[in-house]
Amino acid sequence: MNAFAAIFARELRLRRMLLIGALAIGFIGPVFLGLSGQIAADSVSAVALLIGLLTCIIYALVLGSGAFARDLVDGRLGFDFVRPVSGFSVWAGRIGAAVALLVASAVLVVAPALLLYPGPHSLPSQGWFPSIDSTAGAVAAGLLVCLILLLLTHVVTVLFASRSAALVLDLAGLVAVGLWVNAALARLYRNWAQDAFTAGSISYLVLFLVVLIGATLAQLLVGRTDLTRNHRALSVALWVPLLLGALALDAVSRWVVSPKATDLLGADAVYQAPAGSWFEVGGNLRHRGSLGGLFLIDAATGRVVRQGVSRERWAFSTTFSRDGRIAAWLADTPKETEVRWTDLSASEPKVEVAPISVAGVAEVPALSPDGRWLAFRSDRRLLVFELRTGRLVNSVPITPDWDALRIRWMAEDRLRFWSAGGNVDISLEPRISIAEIQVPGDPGQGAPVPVGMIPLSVHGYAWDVSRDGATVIVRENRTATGRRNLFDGRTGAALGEINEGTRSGGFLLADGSVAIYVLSPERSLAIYDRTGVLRRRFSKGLLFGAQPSPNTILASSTGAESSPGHPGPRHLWLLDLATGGMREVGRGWIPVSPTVGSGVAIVLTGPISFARWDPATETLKPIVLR
Amino acid sequence: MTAPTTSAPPLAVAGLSVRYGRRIALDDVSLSVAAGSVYALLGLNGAGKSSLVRCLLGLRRPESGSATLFGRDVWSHRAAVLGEIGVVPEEPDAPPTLPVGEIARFAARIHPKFDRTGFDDRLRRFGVPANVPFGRLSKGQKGQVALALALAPSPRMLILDDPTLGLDAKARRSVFEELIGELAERGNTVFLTTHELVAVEGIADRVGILRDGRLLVDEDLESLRARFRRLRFTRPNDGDAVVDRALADLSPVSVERRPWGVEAIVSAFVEERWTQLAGRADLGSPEVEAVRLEDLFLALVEPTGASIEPRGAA
Repeated sequence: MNAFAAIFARELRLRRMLLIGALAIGFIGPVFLGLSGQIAADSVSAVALLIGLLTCIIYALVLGSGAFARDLVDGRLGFDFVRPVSGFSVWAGRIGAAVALLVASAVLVVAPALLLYPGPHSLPSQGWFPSIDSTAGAVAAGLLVCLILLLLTHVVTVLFASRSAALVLDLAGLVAVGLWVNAALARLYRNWAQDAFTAGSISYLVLFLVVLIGATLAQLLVGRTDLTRNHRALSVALWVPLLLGALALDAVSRWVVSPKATDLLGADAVYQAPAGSWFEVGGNLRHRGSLGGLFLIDAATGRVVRQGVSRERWAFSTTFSRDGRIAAWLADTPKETEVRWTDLSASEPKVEVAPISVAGVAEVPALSPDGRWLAFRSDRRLLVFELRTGRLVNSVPITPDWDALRIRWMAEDRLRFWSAGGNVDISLEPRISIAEIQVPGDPGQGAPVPVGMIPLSVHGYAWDVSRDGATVIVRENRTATGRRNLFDGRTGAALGEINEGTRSGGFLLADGSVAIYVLSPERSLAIYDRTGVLRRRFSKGLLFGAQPSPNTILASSTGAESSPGHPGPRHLWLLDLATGGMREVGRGWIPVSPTVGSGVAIVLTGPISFARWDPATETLKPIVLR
Repeated sequence: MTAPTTSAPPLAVAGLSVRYGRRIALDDVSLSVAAGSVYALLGLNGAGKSSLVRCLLGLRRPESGSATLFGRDVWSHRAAVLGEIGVVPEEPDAPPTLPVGEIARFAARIHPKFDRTGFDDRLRRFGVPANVPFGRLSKGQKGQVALALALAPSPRMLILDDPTLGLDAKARRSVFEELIGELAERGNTVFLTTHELVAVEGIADRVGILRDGRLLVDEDLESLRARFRRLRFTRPNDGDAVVDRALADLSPVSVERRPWGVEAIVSAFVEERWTQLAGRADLGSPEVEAVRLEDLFLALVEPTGASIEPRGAA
């Protein structure tokens, strides 16, 4: 302890002029800037803080190269080492004094400004790093940066001063660590793993600091006064843990963005292909913060294709070809939106990235029946690409409103779209325009062909279009009755209306008929045809689930739990539209989505356990994930 | 780990080898220094003296072998054993901006037995000002400060690595006089490397000579003086072969043929034998004289010198 104290005191004494200089610099801000009145008083301390930071950076460079690197290089470190002083005391005394001088200098530089002009100072949020809201936090963050700089300067001084060929290995280590860490963090960044990105960055920064401290100690304990051995020890102590840390960070980042379906905490979204046995599941993931995961699952075999991770808890961005063989989805990254797709008919479906990317938000994707073309909305335009080649084959303007677009493919070479206006943006006329475009068309000159229009009476409405594009349902929000209007999907002509009160929810079925679940005054499930004529009413409180065949509906009871991810003790009912009969067929929860006509209905039997409804045997078959 | 033993010599190295890359600086060197003796390690520049000292001070870990001070391995117990050692480095390396008085204050905090009064007295004798930064002192004054720092804690042993290197004659003399004075006063063990062969001859008890990393000689100075002799004689009529045969039994270190005859230094001189050989080989005007350490050293380290049998090496 005596040796440490002696070296610490000696080093302070040797560099005491730095403190005097810091104090002098500290008065520059308050005195010269404040008294001159050239800038606002509340900016003086901010400027002083900036000057303080610059001063500390310079000090860090001076102290970093002078802590013991220069003495080592100049052969003067023996003065300490030929005395009864442990290597640790030499290191702690010298590095400790350098850090103490740095901290004291920082305090002396910023103290005059903070005393004369107290006020909140903050560092703004940088990317995914949280903002620092206090003066103390800002000063601490600046000091941390300077401390790392101090140690880095020491390391660089030693590495370069030894003039050893091993410097090539150091540079290789630096490049390897830099690339590896960058790749790991970029992987998290690209996949919206914000929590993991922040935790990983801060953890690696802490590791970096600890390794820097440990490496400078190790170099001195092992190398003592021998510069070459110092270099060797420093390199080993530096690069081995940093590379191992980078390896760990890389492994963690891969683990974070590569969840398994069994990592889902619950199925927040289930969306079924229009044909075949595949369905999409999305939800929050275990141990991954706010990151959500999306998976395609084959109900027949239990095969799983990981679509990716997303910042959203779920995303209905997946679109299927009519036969359910091709699935495509929009994956937004921090830089752009990518299009990914997979051929689900392959024995081992692989996720491909289509050569299509758009800046900004893209939404409402729709694959053509054969899966050749992909249409979606981006930046007030409806774009159509050839999926595999990325060739843009049509581009037309659409209404710039929220929830403004529905797309249905009428044939492989023709799509119809419904463009709504005046819903949220009240400067627009409230109406739904119906138009069609040919594919391929002329991306530069092409214009949609208007085929119909639905005039609406008020701003603000909920609406949808049936899968076949034949029926449009609109519920105007301002009507106290909760009335739903039905329109012809091509011409916009009125077909009828449905009045089931405000406490009800409705879905369009495959053939354009409508299922309405009613919560009050009495719970029931009502089935209307596309002209608004009531076909059946099932008196139990049921939530519409799936339509395994044109004349049957699989529905679940309204349980106490309202969250889709927590099915609760719900009962499954098979409804016969032809006879009006209904019978209980098991327990489970049908995810709310318009899954019709495929012959397969997915039932949630637990937070992440699934079963499929087999119409042939009219039984539930558990899906075992592979 | 080497446990300290009361019977262990104050300084010992065994099988010590040091390499710098492919270059061998020390090759299997073994020696020991008895308590209260003065050991002078001699060698040309680059012979490996400083490498040996670095190992002895725990600054360099040898590739093989061990260096112990008072029975403890120096590399493992450097800080502990150096409490008993005073060190004068080859290049005085105190912080250049620190005044000598501050340096003494620093050293006093580390060495509990640091004799500040003695240090100040010694500086006064040397004529070194205490308030001048170390970096502004002359080279001689720096060496004197280093010696004063080494002696002030009353160490049991001194290790001096060429303490007079680069000093002028006056400074060299003051260093050795101070050293001799201290030795006389305390009876310390001293290990020094030096080129000051004349000065060493007056104080060393034992001498080691390094050449190219190998220890050629490790022997008491008296013993060396006894067995080394310079011989001069005129050549016999039947030539060099007779001379070589005559000298062979005396282990010649160097043989120089001059116009007037032959001058040789031998390392196994025995009076009776020399008399017999001189008579038998018909050597003319044979003369025998003692060899100075400097001549002996030069004869041994010259690359052309004949090989000798190391004697006294552990």
